[in-house]
Amino acid sequence: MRILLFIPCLADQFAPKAAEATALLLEHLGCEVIFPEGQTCCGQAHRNSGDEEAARAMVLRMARIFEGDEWIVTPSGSCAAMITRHAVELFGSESVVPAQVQSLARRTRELVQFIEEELGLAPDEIVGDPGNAASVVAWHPSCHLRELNRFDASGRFLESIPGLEVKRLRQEEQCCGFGGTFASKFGAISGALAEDRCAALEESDAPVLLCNDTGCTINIEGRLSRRGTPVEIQHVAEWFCQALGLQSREQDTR
Amino acid sequence: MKDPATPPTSVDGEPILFPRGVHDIRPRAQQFLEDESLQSAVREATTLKDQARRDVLKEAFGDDVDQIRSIAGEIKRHTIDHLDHYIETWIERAEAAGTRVHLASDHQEANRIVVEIAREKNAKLCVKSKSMVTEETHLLPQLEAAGVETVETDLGEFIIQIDDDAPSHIVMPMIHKDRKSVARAFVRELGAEYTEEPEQLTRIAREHLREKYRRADLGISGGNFLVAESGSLVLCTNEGNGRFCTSAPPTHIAVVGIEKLVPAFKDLWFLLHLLARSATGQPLTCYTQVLTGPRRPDDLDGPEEMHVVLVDAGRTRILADPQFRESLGCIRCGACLNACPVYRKATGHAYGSVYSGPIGAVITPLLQGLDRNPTLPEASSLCGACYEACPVNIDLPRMLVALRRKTRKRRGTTGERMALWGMRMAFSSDRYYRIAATIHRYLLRCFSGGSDRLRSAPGPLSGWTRDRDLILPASRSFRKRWRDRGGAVR
Repeated sequence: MRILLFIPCLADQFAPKAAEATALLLEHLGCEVIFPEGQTCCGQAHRNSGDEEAARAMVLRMARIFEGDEWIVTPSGSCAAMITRHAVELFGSESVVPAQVQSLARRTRELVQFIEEELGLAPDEIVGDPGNAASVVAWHPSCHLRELNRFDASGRFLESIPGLEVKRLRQEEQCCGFGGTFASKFGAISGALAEDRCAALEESDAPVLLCNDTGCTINIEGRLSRRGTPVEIQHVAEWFCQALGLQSREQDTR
Repeated sequence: MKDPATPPTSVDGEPILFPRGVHDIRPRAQQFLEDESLQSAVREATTLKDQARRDVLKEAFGDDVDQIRSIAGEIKRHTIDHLDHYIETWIERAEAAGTRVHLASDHQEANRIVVEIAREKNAKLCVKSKSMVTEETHLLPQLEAAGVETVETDLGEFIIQIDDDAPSHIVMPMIHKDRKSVARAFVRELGAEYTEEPEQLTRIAREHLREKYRRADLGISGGNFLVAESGSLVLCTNEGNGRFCTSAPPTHIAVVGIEKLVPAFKDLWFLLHLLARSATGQPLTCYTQVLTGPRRPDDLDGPEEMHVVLVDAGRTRILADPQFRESLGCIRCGACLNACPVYRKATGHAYGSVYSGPIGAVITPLLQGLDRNPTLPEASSLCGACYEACPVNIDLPRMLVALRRKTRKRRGTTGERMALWGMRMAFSSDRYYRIAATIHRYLLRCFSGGSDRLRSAPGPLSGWTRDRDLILPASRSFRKRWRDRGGAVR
């Protein structure tokens, strides 16, 4: 199966290893992975800040770059939600949504969602045991998984990985406080939310946190760094690649 | 008790619920974040109620919860879409049952109508049950100025009143207060002995209030629903005070927003099932009253006169805007407040409005003007917890974004607008994107002095580094790595 890889700008810049793991995992699962090089950003930041016109232009651009009939797979829940739900809303009623935008929205999937819902694979069909990957992890469900109806489903998917203990965090449903420009503009509120997440993480005693959104990742990692808590953050794809021996566990050089 | 004409003020010196001028949620939120006892009180109450809501909804409806919510949402949406029809029907039936109906186009008019009835009846003492609309119209000072002593009888509101405070949650008005402050207020204002025992405190309030019910010549309530088919007013309460207020005094006035209509009792069924479960995690409130007109000759009790004041105060303006119309479907359960991460941290009084939390962030700017509340729609990470919690499926995140759209051009600093413009340019071609990313990385690296993280960032990013480090972009982007390893591109 041929898929088009959609690597959001944040992942491209801040989490290239997670993006690479996404590609490696998909190849391992038998997909032919193509990266459309023209891609930049899905327009989420502009849409959320109320600049509908700019967001529409970016969505149209995305639709052009990703033209075709292949699945479009992304390691980010929030960008998947932007494309599958909000991209269409930006154009008003169904009837005036350009066909290529409708196609873009229909074909886009978040990675775990794609594996479970489209490839129809259960975790034990992918790995037998954690191998070189961590055997105890905590899980941070990103808020945008709600919009994909994956908030509980992705956690359950991880929990059924053989040999992996998944710690559910206290108040796991509470946002980590990222929210794009919200984090800078409302720094005190956002920082307090990041602290809640980090305190719960420390309480869980898990050495690794799995999370499928670069936004949450840089937020939580930033707070962990400030408070000096040594927890490693990985994307689910990175965990799988380590378990399968496709990627080393070494931290990336910045 | 303090002089009711001077409203209680918040940490910024402005009235808690009615700040003058342009209100910014941040200064108050920052101070409240440092109040550890406030933070833990709000955190515990909201997470407890949020969990209770999930549990009882699941217990009652299993996997059908979302379907029930969407039916309830459709009922409210339909009613709001045909509000003129249902209001007319309701008025006709209510008047036929003997209720006197008054229409108020704004806050002043609503207060004037109530005060006039009180004067006409020569009322001296009024017992009042909980009503958000009367908070909104700021009715109490008007009544007191007219010489009518008015007592809040909902326990939480009663405590708020004697402690010269203001409610900070739609359903749990004193969520921000602890037992000690209640104990102190009871000693100071009621001459009670100091106790922190909830049962004892409730007993003291009960004894004090019982005497007031006996003497009151006016009862004021709000209304949870108006049922069009019968012209009824529906009240949902937990303490029995609502029944006293609406049956003991000879005159009952209900002050109700025009959006409270539902077509028929079969629709009410859905909403009642969801309201209490979403608000407090109860299957139903302890008391659900259906009031249709004043006391009839064969009734054992009830008021001689029943008045309903229907309040517009900006609601028809919201109705006229299709983007925001669905916000009128809100049944004031407070579930979105409990679920909201920002409400949990900023807490109710930071919003500077009777309505706080996500619903407040949407309707306060709509009711009072966006110009006076420009930060409310921005103070959200758009996490969607409110939408998920809403029993009538109101898409609050969508409306927050729609409000941001309205303020976009005059909002934020020049730097912020330039940053968004710059991003737009950068994202318009992959070549520009690569160049912009390189410059961005280079600049951040200059600021960090070669470190892979930034502890203190300049300008608009300083909010980020207030409590956390800024992790720098990786030296090699994904697209570069992909190229280097010969991955397939197109």
